[in-house]
Amino acid sequence: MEPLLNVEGLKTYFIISEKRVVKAVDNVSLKLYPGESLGLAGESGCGKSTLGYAILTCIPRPGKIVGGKIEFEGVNVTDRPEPWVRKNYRWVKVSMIFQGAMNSLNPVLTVGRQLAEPLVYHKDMTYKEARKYVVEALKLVGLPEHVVDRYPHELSGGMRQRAVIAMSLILKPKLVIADEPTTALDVVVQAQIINLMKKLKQQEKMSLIFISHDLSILSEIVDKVAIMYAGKIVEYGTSEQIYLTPKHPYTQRLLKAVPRLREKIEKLEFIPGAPPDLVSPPPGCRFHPRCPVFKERSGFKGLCDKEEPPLVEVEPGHMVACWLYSRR
Amino acid sequence: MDDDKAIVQVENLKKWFPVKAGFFTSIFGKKRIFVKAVDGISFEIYRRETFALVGESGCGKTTTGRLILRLLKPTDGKIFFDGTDITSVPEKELKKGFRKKTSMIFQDPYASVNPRFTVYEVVSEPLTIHNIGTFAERVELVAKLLEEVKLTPVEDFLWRFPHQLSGGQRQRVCIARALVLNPEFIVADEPVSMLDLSIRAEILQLLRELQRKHGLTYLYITHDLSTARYFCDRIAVMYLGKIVELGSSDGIVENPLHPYTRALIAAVPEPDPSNRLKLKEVPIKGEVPSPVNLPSGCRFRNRCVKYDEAPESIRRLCRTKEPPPVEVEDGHQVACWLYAKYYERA
Amino acid sequence: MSERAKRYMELYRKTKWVKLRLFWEDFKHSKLGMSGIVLLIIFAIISILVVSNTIVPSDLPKRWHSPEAWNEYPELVPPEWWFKITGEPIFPHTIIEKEFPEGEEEAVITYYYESDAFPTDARLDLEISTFNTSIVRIIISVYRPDEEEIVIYDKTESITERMNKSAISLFIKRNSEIARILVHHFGIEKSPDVVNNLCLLFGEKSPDMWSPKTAKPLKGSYVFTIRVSTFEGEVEVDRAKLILYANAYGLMGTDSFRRDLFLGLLWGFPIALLIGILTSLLTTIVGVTYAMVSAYYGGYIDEIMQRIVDIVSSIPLLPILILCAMTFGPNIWLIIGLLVLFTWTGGIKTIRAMVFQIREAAYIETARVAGASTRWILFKHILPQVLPYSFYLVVLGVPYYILIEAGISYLGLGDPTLPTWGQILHDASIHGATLGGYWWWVIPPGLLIALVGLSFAMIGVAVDKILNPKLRY
Repeated sequence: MEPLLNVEGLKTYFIISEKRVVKAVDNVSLKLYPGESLGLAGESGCGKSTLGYAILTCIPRPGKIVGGKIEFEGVNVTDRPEPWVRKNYRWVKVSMIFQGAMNSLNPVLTVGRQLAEPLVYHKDMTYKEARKYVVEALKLVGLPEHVVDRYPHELSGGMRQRAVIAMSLILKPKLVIADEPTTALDVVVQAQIINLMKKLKQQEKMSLIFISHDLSILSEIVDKVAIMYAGKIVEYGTSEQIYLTPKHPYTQRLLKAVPRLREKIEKLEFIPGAPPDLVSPPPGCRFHPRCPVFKERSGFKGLCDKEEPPLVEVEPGHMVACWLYSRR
Repeated sequence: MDDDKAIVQVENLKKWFPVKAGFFTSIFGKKRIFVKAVDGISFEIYRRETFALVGESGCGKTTTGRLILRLLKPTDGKIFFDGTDITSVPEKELKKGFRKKTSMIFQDPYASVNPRFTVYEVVSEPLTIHNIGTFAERVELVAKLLEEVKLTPVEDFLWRFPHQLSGGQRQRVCIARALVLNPEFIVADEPVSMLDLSIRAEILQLLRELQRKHGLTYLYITHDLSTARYFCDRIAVMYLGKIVELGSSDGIVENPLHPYTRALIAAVPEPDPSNRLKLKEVPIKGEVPSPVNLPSGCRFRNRCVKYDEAPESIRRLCRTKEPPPVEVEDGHQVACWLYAKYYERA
Repeated sequence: MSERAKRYMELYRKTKWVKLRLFWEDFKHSKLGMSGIVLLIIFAIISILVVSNTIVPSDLPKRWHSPEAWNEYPELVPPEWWFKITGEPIFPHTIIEKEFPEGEEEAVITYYYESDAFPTDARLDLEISTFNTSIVRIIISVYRPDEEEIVIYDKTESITERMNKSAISLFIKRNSEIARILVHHFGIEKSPDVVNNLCLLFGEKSPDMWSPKTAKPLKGSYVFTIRVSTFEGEVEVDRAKLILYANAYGLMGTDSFRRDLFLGLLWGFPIALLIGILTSLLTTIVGVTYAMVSAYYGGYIDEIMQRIVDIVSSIPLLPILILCAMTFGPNIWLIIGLLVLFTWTGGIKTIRAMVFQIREAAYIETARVAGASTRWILFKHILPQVLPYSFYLVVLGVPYYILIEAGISYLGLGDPTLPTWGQILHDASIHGATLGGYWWWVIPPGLLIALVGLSFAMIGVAVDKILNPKLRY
């Protein structure tokens, strides 16, 4: 089967000045098949949001793609000119639910008007004609019809987020990228939204890329997980593989740092240090300054701090980039 | 001084914010509308304990924290600090003692620090406000504190600006500042929610060490039940300005009594890959009502799943009277008419 | 103090001015800002030189308005370098002064005429002393190189006191008597009203000698003889002075009051800078303090204070200025005072918006938790954040106020005792300088106003680019 999305060696850098180039996404490759849901996990600054924007070809300035390619349904969208992308790709094939989007709805337009905009632009409808489809989309996310004529401030946070999800689905895209869609929501509303996404995933059979730093939320909805650190993918596999048998030291430590409500934990783990500076990241494996294996076990000095480990398959479908698992 | 005595006592505390009415409503309308952010809560915090105030946005936990520190004046009720009534003490009086014994750590480590201040200026500001020590003495004290919060080597941090530090480092600066006057009581309002997962535990551990070393009492305000359970001794769950349940952390999580607490616990996700195969069941219905338009009686009843199952006698109570808190087991209290028999006993 | 503490203090000294240095680093990159600074330094140097009286006499402001101080300067002539550019001949400014200690009844002044141009005017001053006489006859004659002798003045004056010293000043250009004499002498068939006396007096004999366009100067020695006589008593000439006014003067020319514009323009520098900077500074201090207090307290206080701002800012400046100028007389301190009083509302809205935002910041709350008083918060937290923008307001206000003062002076409401550029423009416009083509009276002051304003504006733009983070990329 052909992958729906094929990212190869993608490099997205932020060029702030001649001397300051932030290597936000540095040589990332991944494949997504139709109907799959992938979670992009990592802490702040690891590049997961930038990767999401890159796939949508919507990277905020001064970022740009300096290497690699993004193929959607076999077409290299990084090559195509902006008008083509706008007409045929963005929001048509791939749409995005932005971080804190519920707060960036236009306050002077009704929800219906905003939801109808993509239809008017892409399908040449009038706002009247689009209303039918808007109501349908709202029903899909569990919102009543009268919301079409409401203004954003008249709705609660949860309702607004549902409206934003409806907006991302309005042109029935093949892939939806959700960037921290529940971070700003209360835990009860968050559970409701996640339930909604689970339903939609099954109903509409849509492919999903869910970006979050919250590993607990990811486990609720994605089938595959890619763990990112400092602009690179360090581990990739199915949810079971990642959560139950994590291989990369970072993943292992990260999972131990997640507080669990239903277990009595005496001491939560943490990873000392901080994520590296992306302008001049550490040589070799970017995690090595904080890696417990590098510090405590012998035989890794001169390796992890000099050469980047490649992504290797440790079991079918489970890839890790760590010298523990590759021969040198 | 009895060490077990409560360091903070709150009695029937209320804070109502008037909603600004339009020009004509203020002339012709008779009723004034209030947002009842905190609507009659009572609890005690004991010395050296970590007390959590847990709830979702709009429940009043942040307002309570600010009331206890007298950043706001209560609309009604009383606040006691170390036995003294500080409800309406003027600011000048507060500055003499109370302000030196209490401090606060905020959620956003960047916003809670003046971006134009150096680390030294941030940490030493309380000293300068109270005119303590010479410049050299202050520098020494700040250096000592930076070491305590593990911002070393100290020279690297003393004269830096906040934007040159990472989030975790900035939060340590805030912690150092909170300690500079040797306080007894610290309010921590979501101190780790804006930090990366891998650093949260580090900061919480630091707070715990400092608590042991200095005999501190913490009021920990959060919406994250998981960290509350991990970090705190006792938890009070708030909903729309009232405490619905209060007890030990383990007690609350393992044996939740109030339907809202049960819903909260059910909604918290855990990193378990089998979660994605089923829908999450959260025993709650509807949306949070507008804080200006609260239902009569128990304010949770429109969302309560137990309400439909309950007998009419209880339902009538739920519709007409607000349930006061009642102790169900040792140290574990709940405000819910479902526990009517405990009310009769009391 | 421990060793470590000493080390910390060392570091402190090194990093103390980091904030300012960072700003300067950014500022240096801006070509606009640096050019503005360079200009400003030039202006400051000029002002210092002026005020320290090294290039300009200190009593210039007083002299500016006394015509007598200038009557030896040519009237309304362009700068000397102008004629060097156009190639026209210059008549050098000549003053020949002769003293007769013994007193002469016949005084003689000789002038050797070499220039290819005519003077713009000529003047003969005499000081005569009389004793015991009531009537004195004075005859002045000119002997030209072409051996023509003309009596240009023949008058009898009556003296009232027994002992008397009198001074007589004879201007030649506008003297219609002399015009008639000359026309008659040379037989020119033109009305005395249209002829140019100096061309007739100093020009080569020809029927066209009456007009500067057609006349040619007659070079050679001219002998001016002054004879005084009386019936009884004594009379003698003590001093005689011949002034031949140039057709070009100095670096900036002169105006119709014969004032050396170069000196006047130079004096304008320190005055403009003073007025601009002082007014701008005062206005900003008042406005910023007001806005800070109003925004920090909020509520009713803010409402009332803002209504006051509305009232003050809707009072029209010009009528008030006119009224006050007419009642109290135009005085520079009055003008500055009024400007401050009615224009301090300028930057209020922005500062207020900034303070509202800062007020909600978490670090203000942390300060209050630590026990900070309102004054502490205002001065330690809010003011430093507002200061950069205030600086920007001051910088941008300077050209604004210089222009206002120039405008006020131009309308005639300015302080007439001060030679500001606006005043010069005012005088120029009254005397029809633009219509008359006297560009050296109009363009330089206008240009200088624009230049000084421009230098501040350039600095202001550079500062804004650094302080306004939205413009960063």
